[in-house]
Amino acid sequence: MSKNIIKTQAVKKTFEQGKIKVRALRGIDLEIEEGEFTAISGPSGSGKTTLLNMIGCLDNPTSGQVEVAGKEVSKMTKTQMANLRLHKIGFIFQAYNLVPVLTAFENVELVLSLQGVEKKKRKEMCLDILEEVGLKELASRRPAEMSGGQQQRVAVARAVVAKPALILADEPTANLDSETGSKLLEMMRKLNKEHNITFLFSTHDKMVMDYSTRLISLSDGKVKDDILKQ
Amino acid sequence: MLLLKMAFRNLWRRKFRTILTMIAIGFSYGLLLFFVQFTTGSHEGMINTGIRMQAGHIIVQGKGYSEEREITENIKDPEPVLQQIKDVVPDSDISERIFLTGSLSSSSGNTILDNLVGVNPAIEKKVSEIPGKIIKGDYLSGKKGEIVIGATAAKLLKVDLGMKVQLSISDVNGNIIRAALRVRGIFRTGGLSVDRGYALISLKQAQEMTKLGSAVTQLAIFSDLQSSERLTSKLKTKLNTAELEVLHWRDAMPMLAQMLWVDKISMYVFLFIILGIVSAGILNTVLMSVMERTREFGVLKSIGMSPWRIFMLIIYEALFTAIIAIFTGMILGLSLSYYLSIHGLDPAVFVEGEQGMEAAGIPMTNLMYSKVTLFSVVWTAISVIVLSVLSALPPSIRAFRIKPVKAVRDL
Repeated sequence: MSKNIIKTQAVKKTFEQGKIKVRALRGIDLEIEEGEFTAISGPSGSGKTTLLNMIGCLDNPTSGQVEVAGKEVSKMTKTQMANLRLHKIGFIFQAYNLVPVLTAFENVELVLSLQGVEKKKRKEMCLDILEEVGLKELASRRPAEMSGGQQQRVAVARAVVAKPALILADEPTANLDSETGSKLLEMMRKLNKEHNITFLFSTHDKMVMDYSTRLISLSDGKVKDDILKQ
Repeated sequence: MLLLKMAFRNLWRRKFRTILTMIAIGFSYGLLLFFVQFTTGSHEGMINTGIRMQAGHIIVQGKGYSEEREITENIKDPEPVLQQIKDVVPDSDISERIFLTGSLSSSSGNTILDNLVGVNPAIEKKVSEIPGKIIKGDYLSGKKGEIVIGATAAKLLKVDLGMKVQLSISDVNGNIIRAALRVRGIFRTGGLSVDRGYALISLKQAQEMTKLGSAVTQLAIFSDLQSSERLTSKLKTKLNTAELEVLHWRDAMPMLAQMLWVDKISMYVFLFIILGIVSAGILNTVLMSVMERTREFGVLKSIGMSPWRIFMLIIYEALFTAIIAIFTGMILGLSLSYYLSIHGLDPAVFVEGEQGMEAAGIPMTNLMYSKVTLFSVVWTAISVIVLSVLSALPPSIRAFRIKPVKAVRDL
């Protein structure tokens, strides 16, 4: 039996915007197992990104519990959260967000370097993953010298290289054309299957929803539907 | 290593801004270095002139002489004192002097002498400024009946070489003593009061006229500037008795010491202003660069970079900016300083016409040289580096505190 990589219990999040209180999450209960390829969908303001931020240890819930890789996040210090992000979670952003002054290779290497992996091993791991995402030849290019699709593939390589337990992808295909988006999703699905890495997407994109094996719909900060497709 | 690489490359993301900042810091540092070295060099020059004109690196005199400058407060038997000094400072030159005041008159006029000095010409030729400033005739030969006077005094008295002047001084008992002396040499230092009121006679002549016997009013010791303080305290333990006192040049020429101190303070004020400019430059550049990269820091934190690493990234960026700027500025500062350490700067460029330049009674007409030392290069560079790091602290703390979730939301 697979174990849970994510578990949330009655997660609520309220933001204060001036005098107005925005209840972004109104009690989310979720369990996501290791190796899942799950998409969270819903209209703008439904709480997708907020939920992803809680799971990604980027923010604390107002109430409720979030457990990632068996660790209770809401009780963690900032350093512990940074440590958990570094070792267990990979991030893929809508705008790629690569470090502009580093080459593709160095962008991927950064995570391993932060983890303290030794140089020779780092090089080996980076070249392997860049080959896997089909960018070995562009390893010495900086982000500005690559297309959007190529940059997002580097971002995927950066997220995957340290073999984290979980990858959180916030609208990863939003800035890509459908063909590039489809290739990217295929690649991620392959990595998901081969390395048993859990992928959790927040998306509006129908293609992402089609590729995912589980689809969670949010509406007004609550889970509206939870469909297992396999 | 990757962090250092990132920091260095980040500098060139806004090339124009970084280069402008570097130019500002480099130029300020170059000026600062030059100013420090020139001030140090010119101060040393002034001290040396003062020492060679009026005192020594260390002086020994009769206790109480400083207060009234009475010749009764003298060193009665200089010989054993000289021997004791030689024991402590064996490589020094020691000049025996009698400082007097008096007046000089000729058929055409008279002038007051603030400093009539009885000297041993053989030693003075080695240690004094005056022999090198003779414009007519010669320095004292050591014979009696000779006097060396300044160019202004000669003009006032309308006398020339070989002509006689009458010197009037008080002897040790307070009686007025007169002597007719022949002008052997005329000097010009450029200092107005020195060229008018400073004159030299032989020690023997002074001792005879004042009836001091073998006594002198001052033993001037010439060693070197650096060790003078240490040697002064050594001599003090040996020679400070009921009759004698040992003075460092700073205490012997308090006016000069005070003037140099004031000048040094103004140097530090200037230095403070320059460092302020450097600080503002670094703070502005680093702060702008941090504010522009809020999102990037959020992303870096998201992928697991610790706040401390982000903090260090900013500090490294400031450090690199400062170090590159310092090297550029060093070329500028050292070139200027090195040129003036060889060729010197004529202080006449600061005064108009033929007006003499004088400070604390010391003529300031010698060329002013800057002093290039490794120490000054190092301490000014370290000051700028430390200041750069301090100036980068507020933006670094800002970056340290960036919350990844807020930064990423700014997408």
